[in-house]
Amino acid sequence: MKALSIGSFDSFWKAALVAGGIAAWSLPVWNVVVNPYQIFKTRFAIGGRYTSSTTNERYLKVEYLLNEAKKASPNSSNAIVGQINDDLPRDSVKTKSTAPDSYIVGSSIMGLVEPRLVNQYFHDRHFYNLAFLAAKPDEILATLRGLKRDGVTIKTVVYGLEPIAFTDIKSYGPAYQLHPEASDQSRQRVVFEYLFASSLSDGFSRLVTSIKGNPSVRYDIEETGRYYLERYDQEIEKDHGAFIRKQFPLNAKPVKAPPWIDSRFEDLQKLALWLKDESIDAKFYLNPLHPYVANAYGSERLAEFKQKITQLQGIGGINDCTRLLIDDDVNRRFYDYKHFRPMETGKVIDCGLSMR
Amino acid sequence: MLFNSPEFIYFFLPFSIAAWWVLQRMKREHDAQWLVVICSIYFYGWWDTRYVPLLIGNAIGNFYLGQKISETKSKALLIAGLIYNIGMLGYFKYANFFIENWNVVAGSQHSLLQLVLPLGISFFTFQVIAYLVDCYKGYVSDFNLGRFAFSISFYPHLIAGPILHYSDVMPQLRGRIDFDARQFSQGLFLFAAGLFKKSAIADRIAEHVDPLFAADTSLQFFESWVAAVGYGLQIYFDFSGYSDMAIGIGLMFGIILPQNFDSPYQAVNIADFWKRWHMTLSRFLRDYVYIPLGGNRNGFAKGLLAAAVTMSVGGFWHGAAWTFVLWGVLHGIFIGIHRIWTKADIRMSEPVAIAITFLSVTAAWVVFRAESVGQALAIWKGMIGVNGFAIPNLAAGICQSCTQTTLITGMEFVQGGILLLICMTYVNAQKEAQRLEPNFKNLTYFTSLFFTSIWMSGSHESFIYWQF
Repeated sequence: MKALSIGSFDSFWKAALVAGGIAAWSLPVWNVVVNPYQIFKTRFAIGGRYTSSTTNERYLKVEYLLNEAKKASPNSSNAIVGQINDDLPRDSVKTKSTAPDSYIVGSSIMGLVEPRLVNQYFHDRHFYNLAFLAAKPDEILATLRGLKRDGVTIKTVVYGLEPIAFTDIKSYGPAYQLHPEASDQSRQRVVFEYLFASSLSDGFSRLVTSIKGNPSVRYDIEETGRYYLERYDQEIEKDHGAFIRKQFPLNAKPVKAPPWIDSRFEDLQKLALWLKDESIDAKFYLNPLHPYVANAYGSERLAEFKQKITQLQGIGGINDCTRLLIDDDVNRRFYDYKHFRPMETGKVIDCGLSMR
Repeated sequence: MLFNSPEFIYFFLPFSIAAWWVLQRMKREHDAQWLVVICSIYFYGWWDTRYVPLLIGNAIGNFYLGQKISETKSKALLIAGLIYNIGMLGYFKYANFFIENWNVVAGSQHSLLQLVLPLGISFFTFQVIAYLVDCYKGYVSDFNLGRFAFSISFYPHLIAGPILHYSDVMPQLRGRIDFDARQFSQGLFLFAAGLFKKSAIADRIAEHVDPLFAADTSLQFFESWVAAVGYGLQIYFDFSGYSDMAIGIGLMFGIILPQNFDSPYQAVNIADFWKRWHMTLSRFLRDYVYIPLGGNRNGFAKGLLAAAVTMSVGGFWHGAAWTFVLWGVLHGIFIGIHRIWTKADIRMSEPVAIAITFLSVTAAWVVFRAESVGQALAIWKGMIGVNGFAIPNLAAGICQSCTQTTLITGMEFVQGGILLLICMTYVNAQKEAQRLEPNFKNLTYFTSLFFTSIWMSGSHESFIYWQF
């Protein structure tokens, strides 16, 4: 069958330019309106704030902390206005009593930790959950360095470790890009990249979630820093048995965990030494594992992991909670093979931070 | 500035092409040429401004040297020019390699030079070498600085080719360039096809291949094959995608750049492969290395030696590492075997010939990509099963008791199979562009390619050949 003619090449190139232009320029419009990474603060954006599953925690949490630090600064506009209005003398403007000065770091497993539970162990500290999905030690170091450089107070850091972060070879997209203060890119460059980020699948998922009004996740960026798995919680509330059957199939095939990535241990070493140099109190511990993940590594490799961590300078002895939640009811304690449920956090923190 | 980056696609490319055609329409051809030269310098400087003076100085110096060589036919000047250009390349690209190896051999502790390799220096150097030799041979008659500057710096080919001869572009610039709607449409189509190859295919393959080459463990059978074949596909889609984009941009300017790829994985022998892969490099190596070495004029054995040396030079040109040298040597050996094979008049069916050629090229890609010769050896061992047979998840049902690998899922074989089928059967983007007709089907095709490339690409990764 002969294809429908468009006339001549004179018409074709013009039509192609128009079609190509529309295809290209609709991308930045989409990125602002659908806002899959939640970078843009605009009234045109759809859906609830921070309910996109691809919300960029790395960017938003740092941005929030920098803004908080600015507000608390005696040179902030609020402080100056207060002084002009004869409120408080400029020098006596204090950091808000709840302003974060200590941080929970780590991967998505730590992202579920409620800072209040950690505060109990450090009465004079105010923790913020600065964990990132799939966080690696080098990203944590870059972020803490950037925050410290920009005047954010860092008194204590709590880092729950698990072997997955030391074997994960996946590459991640724009949702995982560091804040400009934690990377060598300028703020303008980062915003430009988000404006033109290829985000069809991430944006489409965001669009569907917004239309359905039933987000799977909600990030509490501007309060605790933690996230909530809302859809999982609803499913558990409805029928926990069905949820377990879905998440932990009986016929799940055993897997072998990938090899260690040695550079990750080197990065953790750098992080530990930096924390020591900056006189920041640091607590490390090993997070609980689901038996499926524990078996993927095997007891020998888990022992090797613990040894590799404890051998690092500045870390020393750490509490090992890897088997804390393993019992007959283990599937009730986890959302999936990686993440234990928030109801277990208290127990985990007790194990992780208790004096040895 | 990468061809697949937003700043290039949304701003630089439309501006430079629009400005070019506006000036051409105003009959200000020389201004248009100089504008493109300025755009090309800006394009180059986007990466690192430190080497912009080097680029400009080298271009001007070689232009006047070429003119002098052409006038005097002085062999001494030609040799001086070649030494200078090869010396520059040697200094920036190979100095640290030689120091490292000298330290190993002599047990010395000479410190390495703090050098940043100027982008595209390998391509630039080969082009000026070709120009100087052509001047000496009397092939060059046009000594207009503007046209030379345009030809040498024209940004579509500046960083990674196609490697031009004097006769490729300069004669096209002598007259006024008229807008040709068909050529412009072909350019748009080729650009979209190249962008799709790069963003939607090559960068996606890299997500599977890079972790395998980065794994600090010996790859087993299936993992090694995914790494080897995957990289062969990645480099093809990456570099041919880049070349399609470069040639497409050229056509949008009304400039025809030489073809660089012609379905190389459809080659029936290794000599055929080199007629289809990086064709402008093959042409350069043939004209300026192989033939001056005597080619096949001095008997069979000397011809073999000339081919082996040529391929080794080609390998070393890619990078200052033993892996690249070994890759070139391997191709030299393949060509030698092919010649002996041809002389013995051994025949085989075309599918078998294509398969053997592809497997040879794939095995050689391993050492091209590997961080070290040791890593390449480990992967080759994996490919023949010496490191074990951990099976991918997709095949877990076949063998319950087998060890599973987490480095690959098994889907890579399906995806790779589809891509190989395309490589082996599809006519290629250049030929598609040549037979482009102005109809809605092609408009939809173009728009789909462009839309997919823009909307579904991952991070804007650099092109593999930009590092050379």
